[in-house]
Amino acid sequence: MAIKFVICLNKQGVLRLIRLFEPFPGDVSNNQSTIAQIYKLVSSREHKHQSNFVEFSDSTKLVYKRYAGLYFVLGIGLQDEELIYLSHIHLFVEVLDAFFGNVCELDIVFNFHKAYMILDELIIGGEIQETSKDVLLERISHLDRLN
Amino acid sequence: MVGNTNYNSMKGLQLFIADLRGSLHAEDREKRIQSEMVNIRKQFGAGNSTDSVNGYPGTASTLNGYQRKKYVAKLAYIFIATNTTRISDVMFGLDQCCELMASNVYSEKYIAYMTLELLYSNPSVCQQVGDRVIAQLKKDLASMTENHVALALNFLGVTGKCDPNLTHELIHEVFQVLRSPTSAQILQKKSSLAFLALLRNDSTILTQDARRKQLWIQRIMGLLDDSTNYRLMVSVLPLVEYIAREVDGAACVKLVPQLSEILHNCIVHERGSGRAGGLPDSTYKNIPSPWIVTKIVSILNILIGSPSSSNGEITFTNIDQGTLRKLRMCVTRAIDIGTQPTADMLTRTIQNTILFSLINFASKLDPSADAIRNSVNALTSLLSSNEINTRYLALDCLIKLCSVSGKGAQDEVRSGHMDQLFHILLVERDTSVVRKIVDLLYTLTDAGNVESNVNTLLKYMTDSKQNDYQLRSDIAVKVAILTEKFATDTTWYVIVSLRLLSLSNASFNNNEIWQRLCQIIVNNESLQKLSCDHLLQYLPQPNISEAIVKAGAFVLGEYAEVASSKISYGEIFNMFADKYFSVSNLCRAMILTTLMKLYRRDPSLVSAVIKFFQLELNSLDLELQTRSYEYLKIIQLEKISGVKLVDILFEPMVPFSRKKNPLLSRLEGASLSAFDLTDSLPSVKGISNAPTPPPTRKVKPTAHNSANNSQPLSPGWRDGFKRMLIHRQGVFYSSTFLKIFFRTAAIPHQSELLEVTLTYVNTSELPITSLLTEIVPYKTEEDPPYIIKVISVPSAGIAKGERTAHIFEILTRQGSPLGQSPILNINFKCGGSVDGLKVKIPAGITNTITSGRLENRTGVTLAQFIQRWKALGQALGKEGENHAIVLAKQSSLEQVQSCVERMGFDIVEQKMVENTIFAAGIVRTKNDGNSGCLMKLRCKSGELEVTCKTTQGHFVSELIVGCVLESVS
Repeated sequence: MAIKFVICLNKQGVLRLIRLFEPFPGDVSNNQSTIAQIYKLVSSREHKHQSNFVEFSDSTKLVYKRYAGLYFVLGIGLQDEELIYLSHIHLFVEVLDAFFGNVCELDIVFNFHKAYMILDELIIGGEIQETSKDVLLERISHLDRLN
Repeated sequence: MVGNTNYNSMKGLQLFIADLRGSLHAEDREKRIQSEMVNIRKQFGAGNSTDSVNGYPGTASTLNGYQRKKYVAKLAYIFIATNTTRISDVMFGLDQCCELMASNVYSEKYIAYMTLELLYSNPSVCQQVGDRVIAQLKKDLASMTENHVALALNFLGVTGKCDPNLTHELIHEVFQVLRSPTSAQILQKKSSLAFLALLRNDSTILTQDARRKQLWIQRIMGLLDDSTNYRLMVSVLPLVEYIAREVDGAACVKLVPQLSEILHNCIVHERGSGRAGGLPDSTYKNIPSPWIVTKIVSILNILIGSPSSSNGEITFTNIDQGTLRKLRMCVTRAIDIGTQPTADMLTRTIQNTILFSLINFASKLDPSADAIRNSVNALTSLLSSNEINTRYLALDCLIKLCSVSGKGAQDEVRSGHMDQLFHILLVERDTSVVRKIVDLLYTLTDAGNVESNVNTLLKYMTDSKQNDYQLRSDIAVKVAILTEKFATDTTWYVIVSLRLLSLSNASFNNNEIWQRLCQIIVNNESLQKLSCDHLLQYLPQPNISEAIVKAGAFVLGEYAEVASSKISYGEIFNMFADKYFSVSNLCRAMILTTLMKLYRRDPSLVSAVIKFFQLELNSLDLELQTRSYEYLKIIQLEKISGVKLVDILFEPMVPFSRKKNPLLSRLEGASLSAFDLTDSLPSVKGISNAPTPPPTRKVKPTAHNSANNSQPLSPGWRDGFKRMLIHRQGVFYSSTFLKIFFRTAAIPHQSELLEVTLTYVNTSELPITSLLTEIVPYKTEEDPPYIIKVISVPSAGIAKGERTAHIFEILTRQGSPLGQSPILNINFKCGGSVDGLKVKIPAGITNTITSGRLENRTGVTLAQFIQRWKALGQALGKEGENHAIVLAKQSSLEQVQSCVERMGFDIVEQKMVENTIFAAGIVRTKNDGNSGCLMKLRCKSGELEVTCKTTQGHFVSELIVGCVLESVS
């Protein structure tokens, strides 16, 4: 049920964004290796010949998509219907793109705090909060201008 | 668009990030991080507040907000850029982070919240600063600054699941924001999801307090009132979904018509209605919003059980016709949308999201054969898509459809689409898709197509270059199960099973398949010779799979004599001796035993066998060494004693008694019910369901609905209840806001069916909104006395002075006491206040009464009445009678008579007996049929004496007397 985590990694497996809506299973000190496993699984899949969905553990499956050099990965429950979550990712990337103007990895690196601001307007509680790109952009540029 | 570059950009942070990116070596980066940590530590004055470094004052208190923000942001960056490994190193900054959180400057507050959102899933962080964070959250939630409230709600929406204290300390505050009509929409949206996060953390906050639960759930459902406010809906639906699934599904059932309406508007109306521009939130890229559609379907899936459900959930039969029609239209429309051609990938994705979502749901709506055919055709047309996601999900959806909708859908695929599936299997390159195809073929296999399906799967295993071990092993197990279950021809069964085992590239090192085959051969004498013959053809081949050697070692060891017409024991011995050195130790051990069994049949092999065992005395493998030693000893003992020990030690195998196929346990997920051991082939049985249907709300089965008698009814309900029992129309209930009229009509020629129309009139000065109704029967399972079917629900809003109709039918299956009548719950809002009514609708046996006159016969005369009365008395005695005396409030005999007459009884016209009414009628129930009824009512000195006799005896009489007394009292 719902989104368990949102993770953004680059092609080398370096973490760019992480949002946990529930702690990863196991001890916190394991988080790093969980991230490494996710990277290994996602990056090993041929993106031309394999789907964007893959089972990750006995409680979680991943819905992911690569945009240029970045993997956007959502962890969801096994019972959840995968396809809608691809639209979540797409919407997130569309908004990032419109906000930064042709977004690239560097934008997210140097403005990670703004990327989180966008994410917080898009998804909280593991659920989508707003689906209109225009409404999102208006809100975010308003927040961005605040002192 | 990255507008603000001066204040928000934090130059120091940018430089630091640039430095890290500039360092080529890991050690340089590490050094840079270390030196920054030292710097921040000094700035924050951790542990040593009087030091002064690099000219900066070292006390934290002198840091201004901007500096504090910058350093906290640096810590957050370090945490992310090190893949979260440095959590313990950034802990020292938590205090300053809390300090920053209290700032009134938005951008400073934001950085504090953002950093805490990152770190809070770590238990030691909650431990260290939890109290401070909660105190600040309370302040911010109560703040007049909208953006501060928004930050606090975001924080709870992100971290809600990490700390149970958050729920206990803050859920009331969050609910205040959620329910307040003055909250800005953005805050309502955020509070809904923050509330959801807190509820997921600990839902006992609702479940432990029945009153709070009812009030809060009603408030939350009220947020869906405006069925065109799609933006608010996006955030409220997930909360409703959670409540429906985890907290109180029964309370949400009344939302079904409203949700269906929204779905219908979204899918059927908005598109191409010319209004598309008016409500952009219900569409995305000109297609119905997939977010709204999937959420609503998910909730409906939880609330509505599958047609065969016996869990006491509502099923399609309980849904009113109007709603059902809307939902079915949505499915049809979704198929149209899903099969429209488009070049754009994103559009395709959204179309498919809607299609799959509704097709998965459609099986709950008792789809017609046409509807199933359309679903199957739509899905199979997607199978030729060149996009992997589409193929994958179309197959997934087909599997669900075939297992949930059962035979109808399966036959549809079998009759026209098998070749397409076979083709995909042989050309598909993506393992995950192949896996789905295999699952689907498995679900679709029956006695009619088992041969072609199994042959195709075997062909795939032979030809495919795919070397996913797990997949091959999975296919092998499935083939084994299918051949065993559906084979109609024993020869075919043996041939296919051996061919499966012979596939050396199958490389499944699981032993279950050949073991299972051996069990079946042992238990079926007719297969033994056939198996031996075929094994003898396989075994001489070079590089034959080890599974075949194992099966051969066992089967030929047991049944060599039936094969001996073609081949001598000596030749069999040589064959195994050849294989011996190319197989694993386990297989060698089996061969050693086979050699003993051959020796038992043909003692002339003794010297060859002894030589073999002697050779293995030097084996490095303990098992082989021991076995050879023991077998040698047995042969020696035989020679010395002259007793045929091998005859005793190697008796023929007795039949297996295990009933369950061990292979089934390997098929996790695809849970076919346990097959019987094939004691005698052929065995043909219908396939049972494979994968699990979409999740549905779990309902504890109870003898009767606890909701039927849990809470007190609205005052004054009894008047309307009585009125409906007697009259065909009238006032059912009036309150300050709402007046309800009723009209009842028996359906011609089906008097066990009563149609009730309630008309709700808004008598207040304000509009009524979120009018939701729910009829709770006494019980819905274990032979319920009556069944209620809603024909149409009232509209959710009634303007001042307007009215809306609520129509339903009561089908009387058998008589039941009036006390078991259904309860009607009505909830609505009027002028900001939430109100509810709870009233009873009579489901009495007299609902079904017909008099002789109605059927165009003349009334009963007194003579006829007396004659029948006596006849009944003779036939049933006192058993058929019920007698009661009550104090009559009705003052006169006339009043009683008119009341009984209105109820539908036939009054005997007579003047001979004073103070007495003779009445007759026929009551009808679905299960027990007609029952004639005769009644004598005597009024005397303020007392009413009722005696009733019926052809079905005492119980029905008692029910009728109950209804009459209720009416006249």
